[in-house]
Amino acid sequence: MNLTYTIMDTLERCFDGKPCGVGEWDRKIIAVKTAEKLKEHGCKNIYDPQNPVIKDFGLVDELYMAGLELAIETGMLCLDTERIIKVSEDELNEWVKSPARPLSYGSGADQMNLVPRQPEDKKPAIAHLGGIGNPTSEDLWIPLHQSVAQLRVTDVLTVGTLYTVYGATIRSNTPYELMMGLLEAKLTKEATRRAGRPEMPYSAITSSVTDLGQFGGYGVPGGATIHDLAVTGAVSELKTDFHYLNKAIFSHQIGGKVYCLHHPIVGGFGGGPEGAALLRIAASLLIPLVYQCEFVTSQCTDARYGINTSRPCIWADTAASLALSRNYNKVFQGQISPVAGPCTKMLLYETACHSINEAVAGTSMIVGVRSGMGRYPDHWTYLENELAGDIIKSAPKMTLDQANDIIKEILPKYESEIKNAPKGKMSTECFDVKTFKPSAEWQETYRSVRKELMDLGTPLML
Amino acid sequence: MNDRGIFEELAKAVLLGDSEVAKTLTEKALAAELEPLAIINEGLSKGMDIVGKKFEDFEIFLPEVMLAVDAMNSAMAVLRPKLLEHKEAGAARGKVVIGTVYGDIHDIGKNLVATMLSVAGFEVYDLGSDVKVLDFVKKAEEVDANVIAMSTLLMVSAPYQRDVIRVLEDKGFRGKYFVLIGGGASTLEWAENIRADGWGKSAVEAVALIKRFFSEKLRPPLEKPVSASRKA
Repeated sequence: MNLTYTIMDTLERCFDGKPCGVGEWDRKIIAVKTAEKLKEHGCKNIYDPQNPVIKDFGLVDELYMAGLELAIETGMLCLDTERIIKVSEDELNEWVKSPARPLSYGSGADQMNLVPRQPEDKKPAIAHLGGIGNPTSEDLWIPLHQSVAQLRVTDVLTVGTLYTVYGATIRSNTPYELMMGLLEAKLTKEATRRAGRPEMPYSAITSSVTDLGQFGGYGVPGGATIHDLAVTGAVSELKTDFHYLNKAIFSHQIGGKVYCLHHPIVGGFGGGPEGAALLRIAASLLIPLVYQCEFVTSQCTDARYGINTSRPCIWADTAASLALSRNYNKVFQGQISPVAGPCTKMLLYETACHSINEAVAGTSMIVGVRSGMGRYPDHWTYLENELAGDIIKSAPKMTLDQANDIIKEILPKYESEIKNAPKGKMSTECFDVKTFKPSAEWQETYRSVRKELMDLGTPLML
Repeated sequence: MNDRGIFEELAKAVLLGDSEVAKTLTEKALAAELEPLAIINEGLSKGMDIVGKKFEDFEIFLPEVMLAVDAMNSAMAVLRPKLLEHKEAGAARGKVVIGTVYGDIHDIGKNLVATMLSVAGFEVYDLGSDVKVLDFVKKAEEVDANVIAMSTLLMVSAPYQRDVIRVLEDKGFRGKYFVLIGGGASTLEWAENIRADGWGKSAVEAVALIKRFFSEKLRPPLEKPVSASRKA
């Protein structure tokens, strides 16, 4: 992107920006500025629990403007130097008003093009499905990811987290992560090859939070390629560090296209759902410029449970996605993070709610399903992913009103169980990893929830 | 104002996060010769209990909780000399060393637990995030802590929770500290596997478990870790 602002500006500001401690950042800047912006734009207390899908576009547009101002007034905090990376209004506006760049990943029959969408868009979102950070053993890595890669609704594969490398326990920020980066890529490539989709892109390197995984597995022989998505991250709220910047810069330097994770907290320093929505908007505007990356993935996360399928989170994510899809001619990604584990109705209800809202709100790409909030090893399957993909691809037939009505019916089926959600069963108890045939119990659970969803008017296609 | 009235006003000051009022009322309560522990238990802690409940119901959020902690701390600053005089400092509480383990910079959940522990009247030493194994042990030794609490969201950082326990065992310190683990990458099974004393699934649970270590007069190391669903 030929903008005035470059990555050199980010690095310079990491060292020359205004000093600010983390406590001051969280409490005096994020908390205060978010509350101020909500008030100034009439967005304070607009959360309506009775309607998880906000439909007032006037309010949604105000949220966007508030998010834009918040991004300009706060910037990001560099945790290593405790200095603020501030961007000017001109710099941010130049980026925001620049035309969306064409983004494509994968190649051959599995190339996909990522484009901005509108609310109730007739183009379906890109389905980015798979293990998404769920701890996954080396032995099950290939069959679990193959099972998702061979779903026809899957456009991009997202992968779990390896917790061993050649049998040894991986410890973060040690040489194990260098080895793990390459192993993750090799196993994933084998999974897509076995699925008959060898050129399907995947998001790399997911197993490692530090930069070491990226160095070990991205752009190296036998590793992930520039046709795959390179992942980096940021810390809530609007904080970064050199590990994350290293990942972004390294991946870019070898020609990769990078996206960044940033998950605002509902109940955190931004306050309630309105504040988290505002922070998601601000992050989506600010991070691509500061990191010089392609787009941001975000979920408004419930501070109490670490998920985004509770009612306030669904509202916040929908509001933020609508604000972005209506006002921001760029791509962005939403995420599905349920609390229940596989072989439960609850996981499917949660998956349905958070696929419907993002798909109808105009989110460009939707990533999931982080079953059981990624707590238990080898606790995810292809069926919850198939449901998410089916909804993502069928959503163009749905309106915001329909989405709101359906979600209103589904939420009460699970929200009282969030605090004590079922762990579910291990992947190997849910399906045969050789034949991919689901267990009778999981198959029947899946069938009955799909029927419920269709009875409620969800236009499923599979 | 009678005793009950002062206690209620103290609880209200904490709830509203009014540090000045909390400090002034505490001074008044001491002048009226109310017992420092009663001021904490009947007044300040009652306010904090309401704060915890309101957060759990999302009636208030982290900024308001932090203000309540500030108010509690301003009152505690007034009470501390009196508590020391009566050797009551920490008598009903304990000292907790807390941090996010090495390789992980996620701190929201850990901050929440640290805040809620302060709310509950514990003396909290927050080491921040990305904390090296030996730093937990050194700090616990330095401040003569009762509890080491470790969080992580990452599966690849969870082994460092086990490493801390191994260091405690190797140095012969294991019996000195309760070890509580939490965070998205931890489970009760993991706590059992690494011989931790407790596993908290949420901030509220973590605080409740640490309270149980003291109220049930347990001694570390526990045979099996406790959790919300499992007693010692």
